[in-house]
Amino acid sequence: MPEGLLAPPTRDRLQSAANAADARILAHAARARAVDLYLTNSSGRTRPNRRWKIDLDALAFDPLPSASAKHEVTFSGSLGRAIALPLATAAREHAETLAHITRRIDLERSKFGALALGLSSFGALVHVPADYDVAEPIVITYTIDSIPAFPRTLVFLEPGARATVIVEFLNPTGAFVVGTSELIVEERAHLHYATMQRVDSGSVAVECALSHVGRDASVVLASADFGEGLIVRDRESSLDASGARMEQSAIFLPTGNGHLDVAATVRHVAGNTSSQTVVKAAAGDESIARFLGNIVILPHAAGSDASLRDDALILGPKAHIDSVPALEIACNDVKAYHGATIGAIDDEQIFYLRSRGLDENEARRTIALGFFEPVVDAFPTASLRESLTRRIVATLR
Amino acid sequence: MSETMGLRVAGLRATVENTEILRGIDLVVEPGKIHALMGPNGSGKSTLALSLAGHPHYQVTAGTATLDGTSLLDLSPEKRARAGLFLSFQYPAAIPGVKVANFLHAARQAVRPGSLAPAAFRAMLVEKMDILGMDPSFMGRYLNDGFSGGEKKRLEMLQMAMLAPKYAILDETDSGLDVDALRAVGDSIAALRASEEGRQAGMLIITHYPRILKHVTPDVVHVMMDGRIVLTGGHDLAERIEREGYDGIRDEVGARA
Repeated sequence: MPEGLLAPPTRDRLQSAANAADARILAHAARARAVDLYLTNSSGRTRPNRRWKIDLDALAFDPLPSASAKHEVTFSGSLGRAIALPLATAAREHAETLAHITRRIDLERSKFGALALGLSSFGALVHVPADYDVAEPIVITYTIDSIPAFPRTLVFLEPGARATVIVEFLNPTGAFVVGTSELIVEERAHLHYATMQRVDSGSVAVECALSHVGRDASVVLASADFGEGLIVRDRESSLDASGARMEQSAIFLPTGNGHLDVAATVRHVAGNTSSQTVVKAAAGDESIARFLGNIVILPHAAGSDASLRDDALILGPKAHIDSVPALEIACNDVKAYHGATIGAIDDEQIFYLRSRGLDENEARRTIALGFFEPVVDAFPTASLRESLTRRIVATLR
Repeated sequence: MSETMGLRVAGLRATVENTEILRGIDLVVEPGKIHALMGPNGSGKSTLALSLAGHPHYQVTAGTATLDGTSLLDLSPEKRARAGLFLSFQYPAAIPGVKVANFLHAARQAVRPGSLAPAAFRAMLVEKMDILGMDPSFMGRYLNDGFSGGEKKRLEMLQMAMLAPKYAILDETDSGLDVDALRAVGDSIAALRASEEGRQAGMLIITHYPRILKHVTPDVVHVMMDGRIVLTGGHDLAERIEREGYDGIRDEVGARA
């Protein structure tokens, strides 16, 4: 069995995982808010910082997963020759595949990845053999039984394979879920990977997503996050060989006192790789949305083409949005673009729609839905897109 | 004709940021009639259009405006639209992510609820787009997003055709248009007036140039200067403006005053 996978969780393992990642914890899950995520740096200025600290003693609950917890993982969709299994089964029957994936994914790059690595006791494996196209989306549903939970999702597409994977969470009230998405997409393979979740007030959902994209392979990552709790996504995608492509789209729609925090890094390791990042954030009430987008182009990645687009809409007078796009380019022969906009809904747009008979609320809803529309399009199935639109409409109401 | 029919404006005064722009406008557009409102830049033509449509930046300080007897000034912009008023914007707002076809359907439902089954709506849309020389791909584009000036104006005309208002105000719909687009606008107005729903539509066409009036013949021409209508006449008044410009009229009005 691969190191760190499904070993019984202990406080020692938690502490060592936390230490390994130079981490203390999100303090007070129920009250975790922006202030906890802004650390004071050595100069004394407060600034966004990705190095969240984990203080085990400050948690409002026992961070160790309960031995009696009955988390469930279920799959739907016709698999054909693909494999989709709970991690416990996969660990018995497909240990080599798991070892192959975990060797290539360095979860300890991320604090949250390290935490999940240390404490995970369940999860799912999706494995698609070479040149096999899984026609139907594979839907993985995690039904979380109790706090805390550390589900790991491992996806491995062999050369030329194609699959769509949708991950859903059914969380109890007050959930504390730190999950991973570990994606290996080998040459010429194509993966469409989507997650959508609502996190209620007092809940925490964290995802650490790391992916490797091979030669002429492509990955489309789409996520949509809603709610009044704390959602953190820490993503890093590595374009490892020529022709690798990555498109990532994210929707954030926090409300109430919700806090949504997404850090997304794309690493162009090889030349002739391309990435496109599109983020649409709208923050209502007193919520906070924060996006750190980072494009890294390494010295040998000539011919890379990267774009990063981040648009934010402030829906509540006390809502707050931070948008921090960044490019780190160590190679001359590249194309890189980033752009960000932030603002409230324009009065002229509202008047225009009202002059066509829509009332003010309809006008605002129409404009906000339009704002999200290009990213909604990045979700893989019509039913998912419809449910996403319904959820956006319900949130905007 | 009943005394209350028409788009009737009387003694209308309006300010923008405490500056008075409209200084007492009197105007009656009767059903089925085409009025042209001409005048130099800054004379208050667009302020009149936006005030009648209910733009929140314009404060009406005196006067009345009624549409077939309904007082407009107490109504929200959407209720004015539902009462049958349409404004073709000089600078229509872009709304990314909102598809033209979906928007037109929502707007049609808002101003004329339940009046068209979806199939009939589609058929009408195809027909009107054809009249305007618009490619069907327009339907899937986002509202005014990345549109050229001419495309925006065609879309305004398409909206007018689809909403079939009782009274339409066209605020410089002709400005910035090439000859083909100008003809399309003229054709669109003619088509609306030939349709069952639009037969009795009254129009107020705001322009500084007489050239649109070669495609649409107005029944009445008004000249506006400094926030007032200073001269009203027939089609020949537009021809006179083309010959003499506004200076001659300004001199004449000044001499009368």
